[in-house]
Amino acid sequence: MEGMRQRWAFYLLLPTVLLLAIFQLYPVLYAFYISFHTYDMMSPPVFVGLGNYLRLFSDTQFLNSLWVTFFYVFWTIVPVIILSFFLALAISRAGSLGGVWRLLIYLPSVLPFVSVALVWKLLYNQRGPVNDILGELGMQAIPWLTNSTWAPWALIGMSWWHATSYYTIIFLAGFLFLPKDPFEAAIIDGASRWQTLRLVTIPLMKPTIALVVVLATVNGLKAFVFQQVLTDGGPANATQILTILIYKSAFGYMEMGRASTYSIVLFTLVMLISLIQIWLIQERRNA
Amino acid sequence: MPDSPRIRLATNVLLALYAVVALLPIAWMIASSFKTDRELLDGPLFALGDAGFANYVKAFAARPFVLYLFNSIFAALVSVAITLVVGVCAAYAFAKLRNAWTEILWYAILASIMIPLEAIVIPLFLEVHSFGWQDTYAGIVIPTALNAAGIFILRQAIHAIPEELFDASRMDGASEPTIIWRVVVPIIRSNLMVVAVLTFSFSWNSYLWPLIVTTSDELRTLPLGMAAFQMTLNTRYSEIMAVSVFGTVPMALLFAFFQRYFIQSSISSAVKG
Repeated sequence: MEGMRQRWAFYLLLPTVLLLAIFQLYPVLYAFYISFHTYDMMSPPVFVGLGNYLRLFSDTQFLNSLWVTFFYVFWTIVPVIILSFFLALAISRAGSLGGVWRLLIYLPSVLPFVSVALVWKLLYNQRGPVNDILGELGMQAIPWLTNSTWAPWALIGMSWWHATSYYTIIFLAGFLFLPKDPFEAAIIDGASRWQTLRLVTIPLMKPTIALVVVLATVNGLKAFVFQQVLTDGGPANATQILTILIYKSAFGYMEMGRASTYSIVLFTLVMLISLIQIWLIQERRNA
Repeated sequence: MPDSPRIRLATNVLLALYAVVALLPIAWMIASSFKTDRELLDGPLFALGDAGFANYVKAFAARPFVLYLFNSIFAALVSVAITLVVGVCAAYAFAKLRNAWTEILWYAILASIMIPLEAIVIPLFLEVHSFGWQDTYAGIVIPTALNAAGIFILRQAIHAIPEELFDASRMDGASEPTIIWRVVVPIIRSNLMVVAVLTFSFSWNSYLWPLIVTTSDELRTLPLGMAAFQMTLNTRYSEIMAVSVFGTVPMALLFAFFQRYFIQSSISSAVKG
């Protein structure tokens, strides 16, 4: 009986193991392998040892992309997290209309990413609505997507709109699971609204906040569609985040080795942050 | 803390303001798809234009959007089917047939959930190329079909099923597949829906991988077709908006019918990232 079940465990897991081994594990190992070679898909790979990695430190394109990525992730996640947190807090206290607000605020997440990208590309058009509104306010039109100072901010701005929709829902789930007792105790102690927020709500929400920080960072590192559609990394590489650089080096210039080295950097960043996430989930479960 | 009526009103007003911000770009997209380009750039922001369905007609004449739609739906359905069938089997084994090996494997699954596709597309492309799958349906769909996060969600659900239910079936001599089909699936039906919705929207948004693996136009999925359309010379802005609306309709319909699962799937996907 027990042996039977063990055999079934094997058969039931086999498809999953095969799919993951072929399409995840092997590519990861292969990525490391290629990162130690130069390879253009025409001639066989040439082993260069740590050459690709040592070149990273003087590779201005890579260093630029790393900086652009961090800039994008940081300025995306900080406002988004603050805004989503307070939106979710507001929804949780909105009373009977809460469900309506939740639904409406969630809608941007229902749009396909490419639709979002196409709409915002047009919103940022020189003669588009964003500049129309600035004009109404008596300001000059801004060349959002064609100026290397403004383009990163254009992408960050649209991410606020897009990501807030998603993280508000995550925060809201966190708020709904909060215990009631500490809040009642705060009322009895005569705590002010601000004190309650600072001393009760935020500490209780810490696990959810941490989770959202990790999620938003990972999702920011993996961003691709918006940058590809709106600016294709330009102007002058101002929005060339790592994923765009990887894509261009590999499939534009056929530099598979170098692109794999960039991939390993991205891989390492995401895995490190995901490990923090697992640790946080574990903490929460133990709490 | 019970809020006073005034504070509650202020809360609702602020939320209404933000809801307007969230909806404006969507409303503008829909309105623009019915405008001429001149109306779009110079006319009032939200007035419906005079173009009627002309933009839709022209866009569909310019590119095979129905084919792109079919490709996207096909890819998404295969991905959902594989994730549900393969996933529920694996999840059951992980939850109820545990041994030392499944425990080790479970950590491998967790690790694979974290692996960003964006970092392995190059080797994946080389591998798929060597299979001769480049520019085929198999190449587009199979490598990214299994959504490992689904296994995670299903395992949690199966884990919560009381052991007695299984013992009763086993006593009756039911095999493990029968138990999965007769006992597990009916109980976790709503979790299966969550995973289905999650996997469908992942696939629907999938962009980088199909972009890399396809070269011929007939194999393009909708996101690729939409992006390629806007890069074509002489494409009108209003036609691009028509196409954006078109790409949204399937998701909007799905959302209208399965709203509950959508929001639940967003929350569940938080464990994945």
